[in-house]
Amino acid sequence: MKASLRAFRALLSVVFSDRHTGACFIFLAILCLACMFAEFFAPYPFAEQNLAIGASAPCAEHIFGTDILGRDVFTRILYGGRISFAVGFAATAVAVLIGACYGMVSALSPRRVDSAMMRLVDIAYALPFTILVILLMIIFGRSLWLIFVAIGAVEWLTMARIVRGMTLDIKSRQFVLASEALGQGFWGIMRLHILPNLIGTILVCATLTVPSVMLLESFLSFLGLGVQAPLPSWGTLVKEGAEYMLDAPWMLVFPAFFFSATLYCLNRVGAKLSAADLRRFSK
Amino acid sequence: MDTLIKVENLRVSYPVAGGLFGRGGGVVNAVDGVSFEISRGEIVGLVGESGSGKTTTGRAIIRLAPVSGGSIFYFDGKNKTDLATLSKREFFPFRKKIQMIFQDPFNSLDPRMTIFKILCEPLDIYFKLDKKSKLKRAEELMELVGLEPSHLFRFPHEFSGGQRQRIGIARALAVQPEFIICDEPVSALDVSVQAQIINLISDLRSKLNLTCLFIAHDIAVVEHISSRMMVMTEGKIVESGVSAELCANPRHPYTRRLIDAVPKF
Ligand SMILES: Nc1ncnc2c1ncn2[C@@H]1O[C@H](COP(=O)(O)OP(=O)(O)OP(=O)(O)O)[C@@H](O)[C@H]1O
Ligand SMILES: [Mg+2]
Repeated sequence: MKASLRAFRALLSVVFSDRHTGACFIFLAILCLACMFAEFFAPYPFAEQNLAIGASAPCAEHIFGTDILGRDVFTRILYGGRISFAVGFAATAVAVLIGACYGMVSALSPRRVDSAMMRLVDIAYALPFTILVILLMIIFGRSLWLIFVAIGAVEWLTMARIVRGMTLDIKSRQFVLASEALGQGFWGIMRLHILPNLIGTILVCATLTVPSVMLLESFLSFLGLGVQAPLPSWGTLVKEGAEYMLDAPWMLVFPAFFFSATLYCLNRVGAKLSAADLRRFSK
Repeated sequence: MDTLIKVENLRVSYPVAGGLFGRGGGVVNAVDGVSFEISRGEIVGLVGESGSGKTTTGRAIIRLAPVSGGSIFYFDGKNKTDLATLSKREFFPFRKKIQMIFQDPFNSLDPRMTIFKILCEPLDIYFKLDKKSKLKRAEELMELVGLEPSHLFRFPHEFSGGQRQRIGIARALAVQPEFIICDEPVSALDVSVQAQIINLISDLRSKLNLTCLFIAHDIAVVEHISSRMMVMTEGKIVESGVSAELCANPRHPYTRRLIDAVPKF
């Protein structure tokens, strides 16, 4: 507990070590909170229609305008963000869990098993996963859970490779040999040396996975395979916006801005963390 | 003199990847039929140039390298055990008796652990101590190797190479071993620090009555610390004898080359 608090503090100090990344982090934090507590911040319920006004340009009551059904775009961005973030974090959690376990087991297995497991990953990489995900959606219907699982299942591959490489590297270090020489067992070495030295890498990978997962989700939503109406996600908002781009540009511009800004900030923070000396996370 | 360890015809070979699909590769004999004996309380040196199989010999004794032939007899009172034939579980009690000091002090300490945690690892495996006695024991170990006990809660990167090597020594001594394999403990250090570490090992040996296999590639270092030495090249021991005699009167051309390689000022 104390150690994870220290790690969190170190993490913040890395993020805030330059203004630009700090600003990105603050933007993300505010947006995340606003989306999480959308009920408090959103001026309207997300599905409330006002057919009388239809698609109206930004004004005092609707700062980002309304869509063709008269729904407040700002409200829909907040609720849509909630879904997008949720999918981003949940699917990343799935990917990290599967990927890290797989990579670790592969690295610690005998050479033959290891190379068999990695060939499997190579093969999975070669599969047209987007099509696979689309097929899954069509067969099992469009449920939010399936999106989590499907996207997580795609994203774990990279994670598995990185964690395997890192585990192999740690395993060959002399402090692991020393631990073995002291009589430490397999699980002791895992707990004391391998896992703590992996955490930083996993964390950085995870921050970089979140934006790519969100992008994948928006892509699925854009194809009409993602989140089901009237629940908005940033993908569906951008899709609707694109349909009425010429008549009601605000329907596209605002969701697209928040989405791109979020992706940019997530990537920026992730890149900063991966560039930082990972040793700092433990201090 | 009573023998502590007797190595007979030890072999370690690694497969070398060759050909497509890793097939058709031969083996490299890192250690190729090595025999020697070490008596209780003695320091024996093992010299040879890089790649001659010194590390592998040391590691094979404590099972960090796969033994592919020969035997390693360990004498414990009247018992004589062949370490090479033991299963992993049967070998466990010997981990407490035989310890190793590693070549690279920058790589042999876990960067994420404080020195206290590093020293607790061996204590937790063999001694059931409460937190307070662990702290006391760790402080004792720090003093034993000449470090400030108040630095226990620092991380390895806050220490110099020589200090880290001292930590490595303290960790090995934590289990109270009787036999220590020092794998080039000073070759990664500054010349000025080398002497300090060598003297420390030498002092500890007499204080704790340790037996020591001291590996180095610098024959002058080995001559200084050990009573007997063995010269190794290409996995074989080519010459062995009392250090001073061997250095004064090298018979094998390889030994002569090692002696000539020592810089003179
Ligand atoms: N895990 C391994 N797999 C394959 N070959 C190995 C392995 N470990 C050592 N070798 C080979 O065994 C030989 C002896 O290596 P070793 O590390 O014992 O040499 P050394 O005398 O300790 O050298 P140095 O002074 O550089 O430490 C080398 O040729 C090396 O390539
Ligand atoms: Mg070596």
